[in-house]
Amino acid sequence: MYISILGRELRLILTDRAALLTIIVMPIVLMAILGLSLQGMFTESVWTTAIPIGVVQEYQPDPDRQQPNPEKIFFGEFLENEQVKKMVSYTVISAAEADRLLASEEIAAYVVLPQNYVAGTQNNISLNNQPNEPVNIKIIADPERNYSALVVEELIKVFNASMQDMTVKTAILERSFPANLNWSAKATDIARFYQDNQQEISIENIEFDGKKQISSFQYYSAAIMSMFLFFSAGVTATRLLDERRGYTWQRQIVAGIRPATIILANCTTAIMVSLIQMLIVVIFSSLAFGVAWGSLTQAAVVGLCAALSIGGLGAMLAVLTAVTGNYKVITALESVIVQIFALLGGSYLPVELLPPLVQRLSNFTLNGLAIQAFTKTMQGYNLSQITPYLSGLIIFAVLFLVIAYGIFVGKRRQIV
Amino acid sequence: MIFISILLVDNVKKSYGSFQAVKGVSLELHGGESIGLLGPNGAGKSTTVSMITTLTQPDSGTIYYKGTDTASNNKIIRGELGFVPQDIALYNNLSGLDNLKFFGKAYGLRGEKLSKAITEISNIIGIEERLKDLVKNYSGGMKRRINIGCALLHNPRLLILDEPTVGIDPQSRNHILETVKKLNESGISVIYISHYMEEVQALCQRIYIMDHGNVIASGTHDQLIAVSHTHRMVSFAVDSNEDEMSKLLTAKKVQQNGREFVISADNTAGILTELNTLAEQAGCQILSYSVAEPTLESVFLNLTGRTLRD
Repeated sequence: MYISILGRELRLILTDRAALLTIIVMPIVLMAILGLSLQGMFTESVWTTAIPIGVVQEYQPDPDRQQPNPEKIFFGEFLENEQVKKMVSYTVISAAEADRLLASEEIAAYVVLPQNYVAGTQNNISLNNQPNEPVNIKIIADPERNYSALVVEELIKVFNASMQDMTVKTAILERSFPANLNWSAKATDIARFYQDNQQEISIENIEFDGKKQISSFQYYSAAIMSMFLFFSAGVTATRLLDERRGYTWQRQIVAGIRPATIILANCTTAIMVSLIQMLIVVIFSSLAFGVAWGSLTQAAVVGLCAALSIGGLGAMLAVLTAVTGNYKVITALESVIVQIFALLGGSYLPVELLPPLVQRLSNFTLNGLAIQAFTKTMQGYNLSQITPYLSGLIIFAVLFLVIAYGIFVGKRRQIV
Repeated sequence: MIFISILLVDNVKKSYGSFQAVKGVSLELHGGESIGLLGPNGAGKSTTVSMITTLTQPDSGTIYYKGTDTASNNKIIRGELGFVPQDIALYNNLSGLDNLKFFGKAYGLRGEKLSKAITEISNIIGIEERLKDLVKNYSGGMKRRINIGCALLHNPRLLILDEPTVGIDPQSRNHILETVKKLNESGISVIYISHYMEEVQALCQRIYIMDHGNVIASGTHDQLIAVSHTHRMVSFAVDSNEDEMSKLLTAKKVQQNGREFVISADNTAGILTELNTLAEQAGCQILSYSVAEPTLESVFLNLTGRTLRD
């Protein structure tokens, strides 16, 4: 009878348009939207459109100033650097214009080079035996464009750190030379030395330890699919209450079918539905977005573990729904709990971008574990390297089933 | 202990929280007999049936099926029971055939036996031509017929039908009543629950009238009528001041629908004179007046002060 119930449930769910919309169509649509809109967060293609920034010069520009000229360092060597140009495009503007462009969101941020920028910086990095002078570069950012502003801030910090480094080195040199030194001759000599020993640094995305970087489509295929697994549990759990309210449950019990058989079939339905859901998403994402899922055997193992945990969750929800006799548990799951887990588990944003506490919590979410296992499979990690995530999913499955069994035994009369 | 009844319900009670749904119901059903449970909504009929089907455990009292306490062995009744719930207990997104197949399997039928049972039952319920259509596309009457068919596949010895004709067209209703009558004549014992007096009257050899969780009267149709043979249903209508008239009639058992009234009267000889006097006091006139012979409806009205459809 178990097989008959399972077959019936699969037919009912897979012919239910509303259910299919929720568990198949929605994840594909969301996956496409997030994959397209956030693709820049995953590869260097983020720099295909450089972040527009403004530069406000509070100092008096002097292109003919003697070397080392900090203005040429900032503009010529830093902002015109090929790698930096991919990230930011700049315009030199007045402070008023900068405020206007920032307000109209035409620039993501602007950098203010202070009045003493040229003189102060030149003094700090030159061998002249003069005391250092503080130079404060400011960044004014658009709070609406946090991510872009963060990139600009980090770039300026790197630049500042380089200048700071040069300042310190210069100060050390000044202290190490005798007081009666010919500073001009020594500075020329050292500058030549720097130039002869300069090391070119370039940035490129490479595979680290054989692990590939994943694209936004790859990430969101796994992330959204893992989030929508919850809905498979919800859909199957709802069926049990539908049966009670439609009196088919009572009819089955009178016919001699044991309640445990119905619930077990319900749990298996959740597993089957989530496996079908994942299979469709994997095939669709591969064909439509070229998503590579890594080792398909390993991805299948991950899918199975995720489906088992969904089966456990489905059984627990089904029993809870049957005990309470209303859809509140399912409504709460779909409207609140899924959203919280989606955020914590990294279904909306990669957990690496979230606070450390959230990153730790993601290991306690079903979707978080599934995302990690799927994305690491895409990156080329082997089965033993993703075992902790798979174990977590299995633990969830067992935990949910134990809770479901406990409620079923304790509240059997209410359910029957 | 010798049991002559196939089913014996002995003083069962059931409460939900502080609400006592069934307050001590006793009834019996002989083999091949058809009995009716008659009563308005909330009388406790469905709860009583739920206990007989073993879906609900009584708080106290015992239900015996063929001499065995069903609380200690529910399989004794479940295997021989065909239960037609009050609601359409079918899968709307499956075809009628798939529903019959599923519930046939639920009763342990497989292969040839199942196919044969489906053919036979679909013939009985008269739905062969639409069997492959989805249930959601059926009319109310067809759904009701499949609903009954699903309970007949395993050739039950006891058939319980809870309000099987609610909300359907007269043609389907007649078909269902004919079907139940034939099934009963073939030897199946029937418990028929309804608040339609005429259905119970037509199908059942004995009738239990329930109200507020109690059996308030039982017996054959003639026995019940005899209990209140002197009572008649008196219907009349007034031209105005119906509220005043209603107040003056409070001592009698009154049903009112606008300016139309129905009362139960044990002496109709002087009733018209009495009504005219009351109408004069209320400032209105009697427009029409009729006296009906006693029916189950009038018995019920006499016993409870309300009609079956209340």
